[in-house]
Amino acid sequence: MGKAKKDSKDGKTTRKRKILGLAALGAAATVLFRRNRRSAKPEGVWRDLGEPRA
Amino acid sequence: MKAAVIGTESQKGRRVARDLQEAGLETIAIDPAQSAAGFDVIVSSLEGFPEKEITSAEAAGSHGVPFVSGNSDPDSAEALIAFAESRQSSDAPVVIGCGWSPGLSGILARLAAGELDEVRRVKVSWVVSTSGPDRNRALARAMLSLSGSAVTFENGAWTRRQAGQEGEEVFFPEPIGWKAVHIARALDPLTLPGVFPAAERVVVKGGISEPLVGRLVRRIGSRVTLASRGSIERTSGAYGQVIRAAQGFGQSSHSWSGVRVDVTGTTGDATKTISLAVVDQLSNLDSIPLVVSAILAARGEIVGSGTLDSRVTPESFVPGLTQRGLRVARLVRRDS
Repeated sequence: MGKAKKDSKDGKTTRKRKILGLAALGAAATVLFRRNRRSAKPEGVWRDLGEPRA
Repeated sequence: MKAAVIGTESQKGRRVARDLQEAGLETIAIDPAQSAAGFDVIVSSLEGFPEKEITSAEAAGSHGVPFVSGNSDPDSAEALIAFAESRQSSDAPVVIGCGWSPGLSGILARLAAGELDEVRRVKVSWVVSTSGPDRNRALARAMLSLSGSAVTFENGAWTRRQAGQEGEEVFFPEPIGWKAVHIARALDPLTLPGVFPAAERVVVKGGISEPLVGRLVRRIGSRVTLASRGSIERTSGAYGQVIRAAQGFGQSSHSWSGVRVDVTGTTGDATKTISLAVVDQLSNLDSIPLVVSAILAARGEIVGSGTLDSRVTPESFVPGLTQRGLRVARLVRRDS
Protein backbone atom coordinates (compact mmCIF):
# COMPACT_ATOMS: atom_id res chain seq x y z
CA MET A 1 0.00 0.00 0.00
CA GLY A 2 1.28 3.45 -0.81
CA LYS A 3 4.35 2.16 -2.61
CA ALA A 4 5.18 3.30 -6.10
CA LYS A 5 4.66 0.84 -8.91
CA LYS A 6 7.75 -1.29 -9.54
CA ASP A 7 9.16 -2.96 -12.59
CA SER A 8 8.47 -6.67 -12.48
CA LYS A 9 12.10 -7.81 -12.96
CA ASP A 10 14.49 -5.69 -10.91
CA GLY A 11 11.98 -4.21 -8.48
CA LYS A 12 13.27 -0.65 -8.95
CA THR A 13 10.80 2.21 -8.77
CA THR A 14 10.00 3.55 -12.22
CA ARG A 15 10.66 7.15 -11.26
CA LYS A 16 11.58 8.14 -14.78
CA ARG A 17 8.28 6.84 -16.07
CA LYS A 18 6.38 8.63 -13.34
CA ILE A 19 8.16 11.92 -14.02
CA LEU A 20 7.52 11.63 -17.76
CA GLY A 21 3.87 10.81 -17.13
CA LEU A 22 3.40 13.75 -14.81
CA ALA A 23 5.17 16.06 -17.28
CA ALA A 24 2.88 14.90 -20.09
CA LEU A 25 -0.19 15.44 -17.92
CA GLY A 26 1.04 18.90 -16.97
CA ALA A 27 1.68 19.85 -20.59
CA ALA A 28 -1.79 18.67 -21.65
CA ALA A 29 -3.41 20.58 -18.80
CA THR A 30 -1.46 23.75 -19.74
CA VAL A 31 -2.55 23.49 -23.37
CA LEU A 32 -6.20 23.00 -22.37
CA PHE A 33 -6.03 25.82 -19.83
CA ARG A 34 -4.48 28.26 -22.32
CA ARG A 35 -6.95 27.30 -25.03
CA ASN A 36 -9.92 27.72 -22.72
CA ARG A 37 -8.61 31.00 -21.34
CA ARG A 38 -8.17 32.40 -24.84
CA SER A 39 -11.54 31.04 -25.97
CA ALA A 40 -13.24 32.61 -23.00
CA LYS A 41 -11.83 36.03 -23.85
CA PRO A 42 -13.64 37.76 -26.73
CA GLU A 43 -11.59 39.44 -29.43
CA GLY A 44 -13.88 42.43 -29.11
CA VAL A 45 -17.53 43.42 -29.28
CA TRP A 46 -19.71 42.80 -32.31
CA ARG A 47 -21.87 45.84 -33.04
CA ASP A 48 -24.97 45.44 -35.17
CA LEU A 49 -24.92 47.58 -38.31
CA GLY A 50 -28.49 46.84 -39.34
CA GLU A 51 -31.98 47.10 -38.00
CA PRO A 52 -33.14 44.41 -35.59
CA ARG A 53 -35.10 41.48 -37.00
CA ALA A 54 -38.78 42.36 -37.34
CA MET B 1 -43.07 40.44 -61.66
CA LYS B 2 -42.68 36.77 -62.48
CA ALA B 3 -39.86 34.50 -61.30
CA ALA B 4 -39.00 30.93 -62.27
CA VAL B 5 -37.10 28.81 -59.75
CA ILE B 6 -34.94 25.82 -60.65
CA GLY B 7 -34.17 23.17 -58.06
CA THR B 8 -37.32 23.30 -55.97
CA GLU B 9 -36.92 19.61 -55.11
CA SER B 10 -34.39 20.73 -52.47
CA GLN B 11 -35.25 22.41 -49.18
CA LYS B 12 -33.27 25.47 -50.27
CA GLY B 13 -35.18 25.70 -53.55
CA ARG B 14 -38.56 25.49 -51.84
CA ARG B 15 -37.53 28.15 -49.35
CA VAL B 16 -36.34 30.50 -52.13
CA ALA B 17 -39.62 30.02 -54.03
CA ARG B 18 -41.64 30.71 -50.89
CA ASP B 19 -39.63 33.85 -50.03
CA LEU B 20 -39.98 35.21 -53.57
CA GLN B 21 -43.73 34.67 -53.40
CA GLU B 22 -43.87 36.47 -50.07
CA ALA B 23 -41.94 39.33 -51.67
CA GLY B 24 -44.79 39.68 -54.18
CA LEU B 25 -43.32 37.88 -57.18
CA GLU B 26 -45.43 35.36 -59.02
CA THR B 27 -43.19 32.30 -58.66
CA ILE B 28 -43.22 29.10 -60.68
CA ALA B 29 -40.96 26.04 -60.38
CA ILE B 30 -39.45 25.03 -63.71
CA ASP B 31 -37.06 22.45 -65.10
CA PRO B 32 -33.62 23.73 -66.29
CA ALA B 33 -34.49 22.83 -69.90
CA GLN B 34 -37.82 24.67 -69.82
CA SER B 35 -38.37 27.91 -71.74
CA ALA B 36 -37.67 31.17 -69.90
CA ALA B 37 -40.12 33.18 -72.02
CA GLY B 38 -42.39 35.46 -70.04
CA PHE B 39 -40.33 35.55 -66.84
CA ASP B 40 -38.55 38.53 -65.31
CA VAL B 41 -35.85 36.39 -63.70
CA ILE B 42 -34.69 32.77 -63.60
CA VAL B 43 -33.40 31.74 -60.17
CA SER B 44 -31.26 28.64 -59.74
CA SER B 45 -31.05 27.07 -56.30
CA LEU B 46 -29.12 24.06 -57.62
CA GLU B 47 -25.94 22.96 -55.88
CA GLY B 48 -23.56 21.39 -58.35
CA PHE B 49 -24.82 20.45 -61.84
CA PRO B 50 -23.16 23.41 -63.63
CA GLU B 51 -24.16 21.98 -67.01
CA LYS B 52 -27.87 22.26 -66.07
CA GLU B 53 -27.36 25.85 -64.93
CA ILE B 54 -25.55 26.75 -68.13
CA THR B 55 -28.37 25.22 -70.22
CA SER B 56 -30.92 27.22 -68.26
CA ALA B 57 -28.90 30.45 -68.38
CA GLU B 58 -28.51 30.12 -72.15
CA ALA B 59 -32.27 29.62 -72.48
CA ALA B 60 -32.86 32.67 -70.26
CA GLY B 61 -30.38 34.74 -72.30
CA SER B 62 -32.12 33.87 -75.57
CA HIS B 63 -35.27 35.53 -74.19
CA GLY B 64 -33.39 38.44 -72.60
CA VAL B 65 -34.21 37.18 -69.08
CA PRO B 66 -31.69 37.64 -66.22
CA PHE B 67 -30.34 34.48 -64.57
CA VAL B 68 -29.15 34.35 -60.95
CA SER B 69 -27.47 31.38 -59.29
CA GLY B 70 -26.82 30.59 -55.65
CA ASN B 71 -24.62 27.59 -56.49
CA SER B 72 -21.84 27.36 -53.87
CA ASP B 73 -20.39 24.05 -55.04
CA PRO B 74 -16.62 24.61 -55.48
CA ASP B 75 -16.48 21.92 -58.19
CA SER B 76 -18.89 23.96 -60.30
CA ALA B 77 -17.12 27.27 -59.73
CA GLU B 78 -14.69 27.35 -62.62
CA ALA B 79 -17.28 26.30 -65.22
CA LEU B 80 -19.76 28.91 -63.98
CA ILE B 81 -17.16 31.71 -63.83
CA ALA B 82 -16.07 30.94 -67.39
CA PHE B 83 -19.69 30.91 -68.56
CA ALA B 84 -20.55 34.20 -66.81
CA GLU B 85 -17.46 35.83 -68.34
CA SER B 86 -18.46 34.62 -71.78
CA ARG B 87 -21.85 36.39 -71.31
CA GLN B 88 -20.45 39.78 -70.36
CA SER B 89 -21.56 41.40 -73.60
CA SER B 90 -25.06 39.91 -73.35
CA ASP B 91 -28.05 42.11 -72.50
CA ALA B 92 -29.41 39.54 -70.07
CA PRO B 93 -27.25 39.36 -66.93
CA VAL B 94 -25.92 36.02 -65.68
CA VAL B 95 -25.06 36.48 -62.01
CA ILE B 96 -23.32 33.66 -60.14
CA GLY B 97 -22.23 33.23 -56.53
CA CYS B 98 -25.43 34.63 -54.99
CA GLY B 99 -25.23 32.60 -51.77
CA TRP B 100 -23.60 33.43 -48.45
CA SER B 101 -20.10 32.26 -49.34
CA PRO B 102 -19.58 33.05 -52.15
CA GLY B 103 -21.95 35.98 -52.35
CA LEU B 104 -22.55 37.60 -49.00
CA SER B 105 -18.82 37.16 -48.21
CA GLY B 106 -17.84 39.29 -51.22
CA ILE B 107 -20.50 41.91 -50.41
CA LEU B 108 -19.13 42.18 -46.85
CA ALA B 109 -15.60 42.50 -48.24
CA ARG B 110 -16.71 45.36 -50.49
CA LEU B 111 -18.57 47.01 -47.62
CA ALA B 112 -15.41 46.91 -45.50
CA ALA B 113 -13.27 48.03 -48.43
CA GLY B 114 -15.33 51.22 -48.65
CA GLU B 115 -13.40 52.48 -45.61
CA LEU B 116 -9.98 51.71 -47.10
CA ASP B 117 -7.93 53.31 -49.82
CA GLU B 118 -6.51 50.00 -50.99
CA VAL B 119 -7.29 46.40 -50.06
CA ARG B 120 -4.29 44.13 -49.39
CA ARG B 121 -5.75 41.03 -47.78
CA VAL B 122 -9.16 39.41 -47.55
CA LYS B 123 -9.86 36.51 -45.25
CA VAL B 124 -13.27 34.87 -45.34
CA SER B 125 -14.08 32.54 -42.44
CA TRP B 126 -17.26 30.54 -42.16
CA VAL B 127 -18.60 28.07 -39.68
CA VAL B 128 -21.60 25.77 -39.89
CA SER B 129 -23.39 23.93 -37.14
CA THR B 130 -24.18 20.26 -37.60
CA SER B 131 -26.71 20.45 -34.79
CA GLY B 132 -30.30 21.46 -35.49
CA PRO B 133 -32.60 21.26 -38.48
CA ASP B 134 -30.02 22.13 -41.17
CA ARG B 135 -27.45 19.58 -39.97
CA ASN B 136 -27.36 17.44 -43.10
CA ARG B 137 -26.87 20.35 -45.43
CA ALA B 138 -24.27 21.86 -43.08
CA LEU B 139 -22.37 18.61 -43.00
CA ALA B 140 -22.55 18.20 -46.76
CA ARG B 141 -21.15 21.69 -47.25
CA ALA B 142 -18.34 21.14 -44.78
CA MET B 143 -17.42 17.76 -46.20
CA LEU B 144 -17.25 19.15 -49.70
CA SER B 145 -15.28 22.24 -48.72
CA LEU B 146 -12.80 20.77 -46.25
CA SER B 147 -11.49 17.91 -48.39
CA GLY B 148 -9.49 17.88 -51.60
CA SER B 149 -7.34 20.62 -53.04
CA ALA B 150 -8.26 24.27 -52.41
CA VAL B 151 -7.27 27.31 -54.47
CA THR B 152 -5.93 30.25 -52.49
CA PHE B 153 -4.52 33.58 -53.66
CA GLU B 154 -1.14 34.25 -52.02
CA ASN B 155 1.46 36.88 -52.86
CA GLY B 156 -0.51 37.94 -55.90
CA ALA B 157 -0.75 34.48 -57.46
CA TRP B 158 -3.06 31.50 -57.29
CA THR B 159 -1.77 28.46 -55.51
CA ARG B 160 -3.18 25.13 -54.33
CA ARG B 161 -3.36 23.94 -50.74
CA GLN B 162 -4.73 20.86 -49.07
CA ALA B 163 -8.18 21.77 -47.73
CA GLY B 164 -8.72 21.16 -44.03
CA GLN B 165 -5.21 22.33 -43.06
CA GLU B 166 -3.72 25.50 -41.50
CA GLY B 167 -6.19 25.74 -38.66
CA GLU B 168 -6.73 28.83 -36.56
CA GLU B 169 -9.32 30.07 -34.08
CA VAL B 170 -11.64 32.82 -35.30
CA PHE B 171 -14.06 34.86 -33.20
CA PHE B 172 -17.62 34.97 -34.54
CA PRO B 173 -20.56 36.95 -33.13
CA GLU B 174 -22.32 35.28 -30.22
CA PRO B 175 -23.65 32.71 -29.71
CA ILE B 176 -20.96 31.12 -31.93
CA GLY B 177 -17.86 32.70 -30.35
CA TRP B 178 -14.37 31.26 -31.02
CA LYS B 179 -14.29 28.46 -33.59
CA ALA B 180 -11.53 26.57 -35.38
CA VAL B 181 -11.44 27.13 -39.12
CA HIS B 182 -9.23 25.55 -41.78
CA ILE B 183 -8.45 26.13 -45.45
CA ALA B 184 -11.60 25.51 -47.50
CA ARG B 185 -12.33 25.03 -51.17
CA ALA B 186 -14.27 28.08 -52.33
CA LEU B 187 -14.97 30.46 -55.18
CA ASP B 188 -13.89 33.72 -53.50
CA PRO B 189 -10.11 33.29 -54.02
CA LEU B 190 -10.79 32.95 -57.76
CA THR B 191 -12.98 36.03 -58.07
CA LEU B 192 -12.20 38.58 -55.32
CA PRO B 193 -8.69 39.40 -56.67
CA GLY B 194 -10.56 40.79 -59.70
CA VAL B 195 -12.66 43.01 -57.42
CA PHE B 196 -9.61 44.19 -55.40
CA PRO B 197 -6.74 44.52 -57.89
CA ALA B 198 -4.17 45.45 -55.20
CA ALA B 199 -4.98 42.39 -53.07
CA GLU B 200 -2.02 40.15 -52.28
CA ARG B 201 -3.94 37.50 -50.40
CA VAL B 202 -7.47 36.08 -50.55
CA VAL B 203 -8.12 33.00 -48.49
CA VAL B 204 -11.27 31.20 -47.36
CA LYS B 205 -11.33 29.10 -44.20
CA GLY B 206 -14.24 27.06 -42.95
CA GLY B 207 -15.16 25.01 -39.95
CA ILE B 208 -17.77 23.07 -38.06
CA SER B 209 -19.08 24.26 -34.70
CA GLU B 210 -18.94 20.78 -33.20
CA PRO B 211 -15.24 19.93 -32.64
CA LEU B 212 -15.61 16.15 -32.82
CA VAL B 213 -17.42 16.20 -36.17
CA GLY B 214 -15.00 18.83 -37.46
CA ARG B 215 -11.96 16.74 -36.55
CA LEU B 216 -13.45 13.66 -38.17
CA VAL B 217 -14.32 15.47 -41.40
CA ARG B 218 -10.80 16.90 -41.67
CA ARG B 219 -9.09 13.64 -40.77
CA ILE B 220 -11.01 11.65 -43.37
CA GLY B 221 -11.02 14.55 -45.82
CA SER B 222 -7.21 14.62 -45.83
CA ARG B 223 -7.26 11.13 -47.33
CA VAL B 224 -10.27 11.09 -49.61
CA THR B 225 -12.48 13.65 -51.31
CA LEU B 226 -15.64 13.53 -49.30
CA ALA B 227 -18.23 14.43 -51.89
CA SER B 228 -19.07 13.07 -55.28
CA ARG B 229 -18.36 15.52 -58.04
CA GLY B 230 -21.28 17.63 -59.15
CA SER B 231 -23.44 17.72 -56.07
CA ILE B 232 -23.04 19.11 -52.61
CA GLU B 233 -26.06 17.09 -51.52
CA ARG B 234 -24.55 13.71 -52.38
CA THR B 235 -21.98 13.16 -49.69
CA SER B 236 -19.98 10.00 -50.06
CA GLY B 237 -21.38 6.73 -48.78
CA ALA B 238 -19.43 4.92 -46.08
CA TYR B 239 -17.44 7.93 -44.85
CA GLY B 240 -20.59 9.99 -44.83
CA GLN B 241 -22.27 7.37 -42.66
CA VAL B 242 -19.40 7.40 -40.15
CA ILE B 243 -19.43 11.17 -39.90
CA ARG B 244 -23.21 11.29 -39.61
CA ALA B 245 -22.99 8.82 -36.75
CA ALA B 246 -20.56 11.17 -34.98
CA GLN B 247 -23.13 13.96 -35.26
CA GLY B 248 -24.99 12.31 -32.41
CA PHE B 249 -22.14 13.13 -30.03
CA GLY B 250 -20.98 16.54 -28.90
CA GLN B 251 -23.98 18.48 -30.17
CA SER B 252 -23.87 22.26 -29.78
CA SER B 253 -26.30 24.10 -27.59
CA HIS B 254 -27.17 26.20 -30.67
CA SER B 255 -27.46 25.63 -34.41
CA TRP B 256 -26.17 28.96 -35.72
CA SER B 257 -23.89 29.31 -38.71
CA GLY B 258 -21.97 32.39 -39.75
CA VAL B 259 -19.52 34.10 -42.04
CA ARG B 260 -16.87 36.61 -41.04
CA VAL B 261 -14.79 38.70 -43.42
CA ASP B 262 -11.54 40.41 -42.41
CA VAL B 263 -10.36 43.01 -44.87
CA THR B 264 -6.91 44.51 -44.34
CA GLY B 265 -5.74 47.50 -46.29
CA THR B 266 -4.33 50.96 -46.18
CA THR B 267 -5.96 54.23 -45.31
CA GLY B 268 -3.51 57.05 -45.66
CA ASP B 269 -0.26 55.76 -44.18
CA ALA B 270 -1.97 53.45 -41.72
CA THR B 271 -2.82 49.78 -42.11
CA LYS B 272 -6.26 48.84 -40.87
CA THR B 273 -8.30 45.64 -40.59
CA ILE B 274 -12.09 45.82 -40.73
CA SER B 275 -14.04 42.76 -39.65
CA LEU B 276 -17.69 42.21 -40.55
CA ALA B 277 -19.87 39.18 -39.93
CA VAL B 278 -23.34 37.74 -40.33
CA VAL B 279 -24.70 34.98 -38.13
CA ASP B 280 -28.01 33.22 -38.67
CA GLN B 281 -29.55 29.82 -39.33
CA LEU B 282 -28.00 28.08 -42.34
CA SER B 283 -31.32 28.00 -44.21
CA ASN B 284 -31.54 31.82 -43.95
CA LEU B 285 -27.90 32.32 -44.97
CA ASP B 286 -28.41 30.03 -47.96
CA SER B 287 -31.63 31.50 -49.28
CA ILE B 288 -31.86 35.21 -48.38
CA PRO B 289 -28.90 36.49 -50.48
CA LEU B 290 -30.28 34.56 -53.48
CA VAL B 291 -33.77 36.01 -52.94
CA VAL B 292 -32.39 39.57 -52.73
CA SER B 293 -30.30 38.99 -55.88
CA ALA B 294 -33.36 37.66 -57.72
CA ILE B 295 -35.48 40.67 -56.77
CA LEU B 296 -32.77 43.13 -57.88
CA ALA B 297 -32.32 41.24 -61.16
CA ALA B 298 -36.08 41.11 -61.82
CA ARG B 299 -36.28 44.89 -61.29
CA GLY B 300 -33.48 45.38 -63.81
CA GLU B 301 -31.13 46.74 -61.14
CA ILE B 302 -28.31 44.35 -62.04
CA VAL B 303 -26.38 45.13 -65.20
CA GLY B 304 -23.81 42.83 -66.80
CA SER B 305 -22.69 39.31 -65.97
CA GLY B 306 -20.28 37.96 -63.38
CA THR B 307 -20.15 37.21 -59.68
CA LEU B 308 -22.65 38.90 -57.38
CA ASP B 309 -19.98 40.97 -55.60
CA SER B 310 -18.86 42.42 -58.92
CA ARG B 311 -22.40 43.27 -60.10
CA VAL B 312 -24.08 44.94 -57.11
CA THR B 313 -22.99 47.52 -54.59
CA PRO B 314 -23.24 46.84 -50.85
CA GLU B 315 -25.47 49.93 -50.62
CA SER B 316 -28.04 48.38 -52.95
CA PHE B 317 -27.77 44.87 -51.50
CA VAL B 318 -27.46 45.14 -47.71
CA PRO B 319 -30.86 46.84 -47.13
CA GLY B 320 -32.56 43.84 -48.75
CA LEU B 321 -30.72 41.51 -46.36
CA THR B 322 -31.57 43.63 -43.35
CA GLN B 323 -35.22 43.79 -44.37
CA ARG B 324 -35.29 39.97 -44.33
CA GLY B 325 -33.55 39.70 -40.98
CA LEU B 326 -29.88 39.07 -41.92
CA ARG B 327 -27.94 41.47 -39.72
CA VAL B 328 -24.43 42.61 -40.47
CA ALA B 329 -22.21 43.08 -37.40
CA ARG B 330 -18.89 44.87 -37.12
CA LEU B 331 -16.13 43.90 -34.73
CA VAL B 332 -14.97 46.63 -32.36
CA ARG B 333 -11.65 45.29 -31.09
CA ARG B 334 -10.72 45.48 -27.43
CA ASP B 335 -7.64 47.58 -28.17
CA SER B 336 -9.42 50.09 -30.44
